[in-house]
Amino acid sequence: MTHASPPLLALQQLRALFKDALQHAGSDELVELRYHKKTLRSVSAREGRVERSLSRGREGVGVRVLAAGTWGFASTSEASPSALRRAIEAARANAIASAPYRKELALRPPPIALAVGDYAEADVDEEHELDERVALVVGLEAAARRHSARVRTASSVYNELRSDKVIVTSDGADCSVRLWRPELKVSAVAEHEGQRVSQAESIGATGGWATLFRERAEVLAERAAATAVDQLEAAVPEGGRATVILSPALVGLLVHEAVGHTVEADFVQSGSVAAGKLGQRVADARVTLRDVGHSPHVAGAGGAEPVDDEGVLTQPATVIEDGILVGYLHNRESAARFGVAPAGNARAWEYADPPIIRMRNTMIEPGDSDLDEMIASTADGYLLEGARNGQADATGEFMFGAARARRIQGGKLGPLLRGTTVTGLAFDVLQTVDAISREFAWDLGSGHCGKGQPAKVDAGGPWLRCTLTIAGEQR
Amino acid sequence: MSSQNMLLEHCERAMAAALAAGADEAEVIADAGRSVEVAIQKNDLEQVRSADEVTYGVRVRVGDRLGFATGNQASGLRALGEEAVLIAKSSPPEPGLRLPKLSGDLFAPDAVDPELLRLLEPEGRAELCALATRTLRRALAADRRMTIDTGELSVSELQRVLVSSTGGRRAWRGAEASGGLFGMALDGAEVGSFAYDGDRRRQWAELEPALERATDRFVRKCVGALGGLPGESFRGTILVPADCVSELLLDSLTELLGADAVRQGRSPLGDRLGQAIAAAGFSLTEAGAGLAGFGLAPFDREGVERRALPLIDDGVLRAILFDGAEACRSSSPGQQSTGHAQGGAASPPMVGPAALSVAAGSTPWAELCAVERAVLVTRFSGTVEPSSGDLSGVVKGGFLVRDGVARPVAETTISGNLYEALRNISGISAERELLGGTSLLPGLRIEDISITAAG
Repeated sequence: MTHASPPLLALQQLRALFKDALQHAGSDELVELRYHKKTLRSVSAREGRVERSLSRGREGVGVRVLAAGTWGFASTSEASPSALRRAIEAARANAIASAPYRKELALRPPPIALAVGDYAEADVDEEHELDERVALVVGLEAAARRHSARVRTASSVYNELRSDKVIVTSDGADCSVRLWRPELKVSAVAEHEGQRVSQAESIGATGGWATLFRERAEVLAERAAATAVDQLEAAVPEGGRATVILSPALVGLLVHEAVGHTVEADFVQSGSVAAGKLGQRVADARVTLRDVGHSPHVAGAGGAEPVDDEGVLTQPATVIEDGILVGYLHNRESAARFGVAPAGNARAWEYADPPIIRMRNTMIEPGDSDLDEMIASTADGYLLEGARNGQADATGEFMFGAARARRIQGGKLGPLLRGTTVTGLAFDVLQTVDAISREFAWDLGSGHCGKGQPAKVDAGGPWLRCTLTIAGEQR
Repeated sequence: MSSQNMLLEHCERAMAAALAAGADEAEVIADAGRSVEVAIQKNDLEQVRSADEVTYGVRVRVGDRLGFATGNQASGLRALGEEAVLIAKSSPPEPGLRLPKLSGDLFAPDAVDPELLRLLEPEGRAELCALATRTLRRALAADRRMTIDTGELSVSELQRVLVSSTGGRRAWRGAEASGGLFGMALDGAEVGSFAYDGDRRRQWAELEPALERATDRFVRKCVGALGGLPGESFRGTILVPADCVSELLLDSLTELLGADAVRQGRSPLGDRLGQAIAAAGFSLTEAGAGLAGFGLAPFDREGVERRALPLIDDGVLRAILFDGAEACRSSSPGQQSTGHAQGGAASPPMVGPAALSVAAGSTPWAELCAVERAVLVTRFSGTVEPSSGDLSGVVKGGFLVRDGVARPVAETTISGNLYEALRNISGISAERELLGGTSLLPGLRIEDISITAAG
């Protein structure tokens, strides 16, 4: 197979090749070499048959050089000694050409212990033949259609991303990193009397199928179909400020979009709403928010990485502790500027992308409430579930889509309402948090974050009650 | 940069491997790209980046089954062809599927300004850095409250070659330059809303004047968003400037006009051909091989000739977009591809428009804005659910317009329905803007939208 993962031996040979190539780097330069082979295998089903089946492989070497006080980057799809030499020269020339135009010179990051060795996330060698993948998507698509005669069409898509890297830098990183991330999505379109509604459910993980299918895959199909059918006759929520209980997926969107981006150090340096707020209260004391490279509480978070793309071993980054803003997310350069240790937040999507500051798995720590108690103690509000898209602004104003809404009145759940968009100012909304559940889930593992280049991230948390604005109907 | 002849030879080698492995038909596309980008970050020039890569995509038909594989290694072309066949053989059949028939070769004229090729060479780096720096300084000098989060200036060249066993070869080469800024205004403790603006051109000489105009628009958007307060909740009018029309309406609408969305049941528009779906005066055309000043390859992702196609004419739905696979799947006998397969070598073809134009109206934009009460939506951050048309989201950097006077608003959301919004267009501006080289759009005024202000 063209896109088979390189054997570990081949990755170790690349480490040796890279170390040879770095012999020629100048002593005042920092040179990073990163081989990355990314393979996507995807199969989708619709109307009882395979809609699309494909295999995509992309591999090459990204080279970053810090010279003359600035960075240069070049990439090559060829991992040979001569191609490496040319790419290092190109990256160096790119740095030198831009240096006269840079106002503030880049700092050479201080030495730290970088990753050395072979790293892999769980189940990285797990394989599922195409027949098995086809059976999965065809079966789920059929399950969604079987749910109701009102389901007009359904679809399902299964993707698996395999990532093999070698990172060698002139200041000590020398490692290979292997990951495997499967994801699954089921969609259904329901129709009745000319009205159509579509709904989708998705899951994603870092690890094998046992991790991905924490609940039966058929549950996804049933939930997508049931929600689409039920929403055909659902009313649109009323617009305005409201008490809401957010599901773990929506808490994930809140912490990723509304907080996470504003605390990325590159954005902080540009003047984000989080700039200058270290040590200040930005949330209720119940709130502790972290971005982590591993998967605490529940295994398999979709953004897990043992080593980042600068060769830094990933560590938890605490952003909010007991309601106080205590830290930002850094690459090596920004960590040096802020005088803190990097926690491994420099990530690159593919070999031709330079590493930039990104989130990994972002979460709010669980609390001590129970979801049923939270509903029962809500006099008037909404239960919101199911993540759609989300975005955040420089102001901290966020928006994200909730796929399902249910009114809560007198502590009782009412009928299903149409999905909607909610908004608020992140730090204002987090100050209104008055209950956090013990239950916890990672629930954005099938998602990607966009910041000039994609990144595979996850986010989640407990159920959380707060106050924000619903974009509903004005009657 | 790979030569056209070398890419043709590579594609033919992969095609032969696929046919030898059992394919009945095979199509191979190669995209050879190179680029230089100057990145701006935190009000400074950040990094120069260069790249050079060839991507190959192999699509095969084995009986009634399709398979696709893509990679970026010329040494793996044989294996790529074999893998596409393996994928096809493992997929359940879909009767009637065929690759589009291509008749003869089409080696289209280059769309390449030699100045852009010069800038792709190492000696061009300083010139690109200088223009990026001038653009950055223009924005920062325009208003002391401006801050630039990120920006870019890039030059790229693409050589595309496609060969198909159905009878034809295609080749085209194009180059472009583009740039843009992303940032906001800061005033004391107040942080304004994000804005972005930029442009792209086929001619180097046109880029700097275009970037100057884009930078001035960008500054106006950033500074204009300062001082926003919650507005008013009401059901009424929104004003949508040309550069917001796509994100609010057209991106979703054009997805719904694809034959794939119709077949999959996501779009209700397949049953509406010949019927009014938008207000009278609203006309939307897919512009085929591109708009004036920004020509595209004269063939689509499958090698089929591109041509202009009126989609909505005076509010009446006239056509749906087809690629080859969707034409095969169509229940209309003899349906052919309309030449709207999009994408590159790294993915199989997808149905969609390459360039769009909306006909100008007769009312000046300033006159459209002279209303008793409306919200001016300069940026929309939200969701449009295509099947139901449910539309909701946040107005970014928007304004409440009262009797022609605008004041910035914050924490304001809009909610409505895409299909109703199309019918409720009450005004189309006489002015149009060319956006990103591939959209020529007027501003719109739309009625009966729910507007909710926080508080």
